[in-house]
Amino acid sequence: MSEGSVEIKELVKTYTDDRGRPTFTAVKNINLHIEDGEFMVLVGPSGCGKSTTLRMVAGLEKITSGTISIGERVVNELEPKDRGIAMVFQNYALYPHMTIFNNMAFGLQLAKKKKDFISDTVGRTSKALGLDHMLERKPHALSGGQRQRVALGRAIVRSPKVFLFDEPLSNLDAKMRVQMRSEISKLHAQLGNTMIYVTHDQVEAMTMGDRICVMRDGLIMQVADPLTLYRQPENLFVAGFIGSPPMNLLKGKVQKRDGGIFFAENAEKNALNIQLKGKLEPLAGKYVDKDIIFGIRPEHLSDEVKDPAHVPVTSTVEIAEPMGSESLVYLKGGSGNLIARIHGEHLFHLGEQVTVQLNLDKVSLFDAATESVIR
Amino acid sequence: MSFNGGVPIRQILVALVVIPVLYLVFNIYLAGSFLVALAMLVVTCLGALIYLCDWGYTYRYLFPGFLGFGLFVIFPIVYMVFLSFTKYSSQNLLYFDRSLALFRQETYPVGNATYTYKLYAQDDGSFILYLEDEKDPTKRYASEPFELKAGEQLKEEQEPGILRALAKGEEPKGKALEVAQVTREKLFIPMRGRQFSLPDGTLVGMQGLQKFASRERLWTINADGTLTNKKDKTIIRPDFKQGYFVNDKGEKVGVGFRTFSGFDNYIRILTDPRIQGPFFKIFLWTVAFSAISVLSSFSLGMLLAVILEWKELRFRRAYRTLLILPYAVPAVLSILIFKGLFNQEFGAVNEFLRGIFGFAPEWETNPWGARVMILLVNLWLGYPYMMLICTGMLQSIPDTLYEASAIDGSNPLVDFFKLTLPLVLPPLVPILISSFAFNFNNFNLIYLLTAGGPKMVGGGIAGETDLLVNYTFNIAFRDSGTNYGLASAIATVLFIIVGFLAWINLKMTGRNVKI
Amino acid sequence: MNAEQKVLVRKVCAHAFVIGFLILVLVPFVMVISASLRQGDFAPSRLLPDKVSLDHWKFVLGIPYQEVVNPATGETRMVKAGTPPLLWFWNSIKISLVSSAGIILLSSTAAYAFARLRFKFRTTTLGALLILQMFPMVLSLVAFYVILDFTGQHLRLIGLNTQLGLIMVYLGGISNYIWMIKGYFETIPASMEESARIDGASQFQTFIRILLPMSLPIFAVVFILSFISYMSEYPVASVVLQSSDNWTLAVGANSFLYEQEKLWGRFAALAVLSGVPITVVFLLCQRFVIGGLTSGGVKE
Repeated sequence: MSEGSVEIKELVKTYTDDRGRPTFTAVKNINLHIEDGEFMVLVGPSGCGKSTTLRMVAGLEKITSGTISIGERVVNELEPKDRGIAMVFQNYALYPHMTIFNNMAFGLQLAKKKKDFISDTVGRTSKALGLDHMLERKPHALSGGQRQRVALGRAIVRSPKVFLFDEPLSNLDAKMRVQMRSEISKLHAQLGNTMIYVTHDQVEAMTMGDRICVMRDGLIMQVADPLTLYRQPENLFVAGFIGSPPMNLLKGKVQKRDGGIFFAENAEKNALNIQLKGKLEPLAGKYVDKDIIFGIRPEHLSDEVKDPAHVPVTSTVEIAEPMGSESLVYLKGGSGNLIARIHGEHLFHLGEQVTVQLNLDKVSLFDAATESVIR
Repeated sequence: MSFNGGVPIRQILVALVVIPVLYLVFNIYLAGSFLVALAMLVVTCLGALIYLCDWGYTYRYLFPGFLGFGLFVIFPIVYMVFLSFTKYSSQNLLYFDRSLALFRQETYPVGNATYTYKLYAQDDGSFILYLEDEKDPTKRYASEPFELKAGEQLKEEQEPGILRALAKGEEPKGKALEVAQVTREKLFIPMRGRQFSLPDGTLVGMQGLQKFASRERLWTINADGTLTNKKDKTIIRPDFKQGYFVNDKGEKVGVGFRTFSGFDNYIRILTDPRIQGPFFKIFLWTVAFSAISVLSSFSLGMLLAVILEWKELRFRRAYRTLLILPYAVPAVLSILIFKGLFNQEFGAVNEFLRGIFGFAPEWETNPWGARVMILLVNLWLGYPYMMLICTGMLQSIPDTLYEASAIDGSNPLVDFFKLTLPLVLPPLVPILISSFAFNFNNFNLIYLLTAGGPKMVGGGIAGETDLLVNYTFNIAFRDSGTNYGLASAIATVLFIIVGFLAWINLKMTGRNVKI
Repeated sequence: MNAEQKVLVRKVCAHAFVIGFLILVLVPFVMVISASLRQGDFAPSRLLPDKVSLDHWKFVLGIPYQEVVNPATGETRMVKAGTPPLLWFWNSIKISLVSSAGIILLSSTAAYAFARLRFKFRTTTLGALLILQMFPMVLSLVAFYVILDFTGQHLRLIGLNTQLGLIMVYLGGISNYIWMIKGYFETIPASMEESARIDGASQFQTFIRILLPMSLPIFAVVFILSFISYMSEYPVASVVLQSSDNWTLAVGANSFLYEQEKLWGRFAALAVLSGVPITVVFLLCQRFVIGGLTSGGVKE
């Protein structure tokens, strides 16, 4: 362990009412190790506990049980200002009545640093962020993106060991969001500090994180680097959460017949019925006559034939979304649509018959009962 | 006018209101108040037009409210300002015409003929006067029937009633009233001002209660407006500056009248030591009282609001409910209760202090004791309102600001002075100003709690704890020389001060201060 | 001391301060109740009455009771209020209710004109309203007397010594409430009224059927604030209402405290009796009041 690493051990957060009775457990015992200098993203739907976890690291929420350590120190009992952290809030939390300069200098002023040191530090940081010509303005005179940069600047000036981000880009418009994303990533490359970043947007998570921690209902679903999460989701939730458009998930049974293993979708019409070959065969073999979930991503339902592991699937088009160089085509499936990503500029029409090639190598199978991936 | 098809409800309603009002206006006109009738007529017509014509649409919403406002706020102010430029007090009470009329009514006996009299009541309620020469009973006279209203002072000049000589043996009609009856039924009051002329032209009037005698008007009104005393030939002239008729020696004669006195009242405020001394003292106390009240109730209210906004504190809601109680109880009652509690000899406060500390401050007889008591009571009354306002303000500051400052290394004290206060003050300023203005005019508190006491030595009717309002009120309504003119002047000054504050207040709220 | 301990210490201090302060604040209330139950007419000075007597309450409630006139001979006499104090209470309630209702009516229509309609001198009038209202009502007493004296001669109902006359005077004080209601109206987007007009409603109908029902919170606030202020009003009421059966609570209660003989017992009973319902109503509606008083707040 070193300076900026963060260790979360058996962390639990339970809220209580006025009289001390427990009402809701937001974080239900999680363990997470974050390396020094790592960019760790906490991602998940609202209410999954990611913000709560972040705030516990910051010291803004009381810890019900478990420990949090920053560096080698357990920080449970420490106040936020003593933990060596800095935080960027969703609504920036800039002090409305102070100038930009003072917003950034506030913490240093409180620490009774020398005036020269303060103006020096703030000057450098604001220059790096492109804010040096508006130091005398007040927050309300700035745009959203500028305000966010000031919030960043305030955090940087503290020279913390760990940077904490609480959905910092949610209040920005799409274009600004993309720009700020790259700025934050650049910042990480420059400064090299540990950064813990909370978001509900999986695109942000995938593009920015060294590692991603997917959370749901107070529990960690999977922690891994983006590619691993994409390729090898450990459970149904992660599989459906990562990737846009989401993975096609079909419910069905494993059947053994005609000397082979087949997947039969549970549907009246248009049911998918595919022979599982290759590495899928032994996996499915353990689940004969049992319920499983067959998962295939839209990008692996394409019209290109790359290798012999492709199986053709034919269906009619229900919806087509032309994206320019490719189209998202919603095909009629057994229960719902099968989404396919088809390259080319061809315009698809309602009812058109299309054949896509399903890449068996990229199929994931899940246990319908436990929702875990079948390995 | 536009009818929107169907029943013209609006027009009918207007008619239903206007017609009785016009009747009332007519009655008022008949009763002699011409100006009032005219004003009412104008307002009524304006109202009718507003509700009937299209252009008046917007004003229909404003008319009723403004009517009340105009009558009970604007009119009193205008009236007050007008009065402040006059000399109007218990000595100078009547209008000039009335004063003059009183002089005109004065008569003095002329000659030595005296008459006994009898009043004959007629069936229709009028009376006939019967006179009999005391020295020569054959000379008898009777008047035409005339009206007499018991107890009523004569308001205007009456033409002398005509007396005709009665023939021997002729008796006047009607039932004779005895003198005692006349006195009892107070008929002598209107009789006193009346004059009657004998056939030969001499005027006779009542002399005492029993007799009639030839009386002449005492004063002749000269062409130049002066009056000459027929008896001793002295001349008096109306002095519009003093509001009295004065003779050559400058002495005041007769009853004073109201007069326009220009800025006299205002000058008096500044120069008359009996007024000036107390006035400035009272002014200073009023300003100090208002400022201290506002500051203390704000500080306390803010402190309590901050404590109660702390989410981790238990029983917050219960505390808040209990703390607001002083605001819910009618101030009148609370103030009087405190009056009892601070009673110097028997009140709870002094009993407690005597028991614990061994001394009991003089809340009633010592001016500073009284002032402290007033400030304490006003604090008790005023902090809940401030607490509520501050709570609202605090709730509108997002929590994340304090989280950011916690990370920056702040503590509650720094948070309060560097974050909370600067953010909350701008929208609070108008409220503080209006609280100041309210306390500036806080008549009730002083009136009920100390009645202004203890009395200011050498300050006339001023009290040590009087506010400007109370002082003005006393000048206008308390016994020793109710001086409406002077009171109105002080009131106008007061109004200018408070109005100025309100104007500043307006400028600040109007601009919607951005942080 | 670590973070948690610091917080605990602060909490304890806070609780101590608030409780201590509350005791100070609530002592007068306790005193009054005890004074009302205490035999004799002493200034409120004990927390608990030494000799309990219900005489004062009987007096206030209009129940006749026996009073010992001469302790030596044991002579008693029946004491009954000339004018039952409950009547004063009832007068106050009547006057305050009617005045508050009237105020809401008058100021809401005027506020509507200021908030939604355009007319010349709108801003000037608004400012003038506020400034003119600053003139203390107390000093307008002479003018009120003159006006009511005059109207009394022509219209018996609205003259001196009539409750209706007093209500008329109170209805002049609309300007502060116009400001409050106008402010509230301005926070309601006009688009709903506009869509109603497209649906065929007249301007007046949009006022009555759309805006008014949505403004009930502010009306509640105005009602409570004005009600409390009218229940407490003293100088004007004491000048206008002359006969004791017309008196309001404030005037009647004060009458118990003569210069020479301050009847604290009766006063205390009356104070408790009248304070309780008003306090209860206020506590029930305090949420509204807090909301109404703070419509505004920090701008970001």
